[in-house]
Amino acid sequence: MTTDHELFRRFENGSPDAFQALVRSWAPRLDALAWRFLGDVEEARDVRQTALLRLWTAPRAATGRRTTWLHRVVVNLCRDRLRSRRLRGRSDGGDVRIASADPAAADAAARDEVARRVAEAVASLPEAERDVVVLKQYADLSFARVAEILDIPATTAKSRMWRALAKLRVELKECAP
Amino acid sequence: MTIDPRAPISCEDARALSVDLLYGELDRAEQPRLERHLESCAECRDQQAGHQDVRKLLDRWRPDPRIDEVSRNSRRTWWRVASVAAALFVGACLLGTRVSWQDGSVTFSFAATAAVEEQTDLAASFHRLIEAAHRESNDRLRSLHEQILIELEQSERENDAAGAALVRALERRLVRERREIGAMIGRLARAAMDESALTRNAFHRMGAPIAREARGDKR
Ligand SMILES: [Zn+2]
Repeated sequence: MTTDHELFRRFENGSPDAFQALVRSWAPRLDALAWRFLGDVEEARDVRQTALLRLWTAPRAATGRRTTWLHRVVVNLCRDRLRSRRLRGRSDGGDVRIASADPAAADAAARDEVARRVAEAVASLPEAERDVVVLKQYADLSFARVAEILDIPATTAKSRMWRALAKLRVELKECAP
Repeated sequence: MTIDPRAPISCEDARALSVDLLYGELDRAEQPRLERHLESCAECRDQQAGHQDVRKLLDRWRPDPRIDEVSRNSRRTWWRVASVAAALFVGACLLGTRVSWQDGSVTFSFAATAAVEEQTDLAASFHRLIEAAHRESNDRLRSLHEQILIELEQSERENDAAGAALVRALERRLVRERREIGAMIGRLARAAMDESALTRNAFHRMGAPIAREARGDKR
């Protein structure tokens, strides 16, 4: 099993096979991350696509720690999209559209009311807290890595997480088990 | 640094440790300090318990099942990235075309083609494809520019304000034109992406229709 580190090193040395392997390994992760922000599969894929393109075209030395850089690109792209959605006022009752055009997915989502409520509650958090929740809770990264991606101290990441959880607790109190 | 497990900690510190505990990142050495705080602070204790429940609720939001499709289609994804890269690259070059109004004359400047490192056969053919598409698209824009220049001369406008207004109108036209070319290349990229068994040769062939469409040829 080749590690990401090894793949990135080979990619930097010009191996197109390495880029292909990176795409294979990273596309699902980036899709999943972007989807948590955007709630739309197609939009999430667009964001992943743009992020991988930037990896392909970015000056090799400019990307720092590659995995951090890739996550950061996705977070920034998602923020931009969410901001422009808000500006256009085109949010249908909340920023997250858990189900998109696919009626099967819409059914599945409707069946789990709790999932829908959670998605909405996360989407309604202030941007700074939402970013930490998505990266920590859903991308399953360490607080150290979350802090690096967001360029904040780890203590700040933790206090944002705490505040976010307190808000989510209030927001989701009717769903409590 | 050694930690005195009996040293009291603030609520703020306890919250950071509590979040660590919640996500399995708590340093064993810190555990007694957190426990001692929770024993004596009802507020932090209550929140810790509440946060644990919230965490469980957050797990209920499962990813859309379609998110995993990518991994089963990774080969296609790679080609999709490559073909869209070509389209975006050309788009960026076109967007680099500028119109300016200076000293009574209109200038069109073309962005230089950024160099793509020729690392391998594949990268080289990719590069050639981009170059061809870029050249053809710019040719189309250039002929539009020439046409516009002729119109400008015919209009014999000497007034700067009128000239500037005309340039703005021309810019709008250019934007439309670029958008059209961009959309066309996007369509081709999407068509390429949908072709499930894209081979290296197919990738080469992709260059031809892009160039043809950029020239405005009808098949
Ligand atoms: Zn306390």
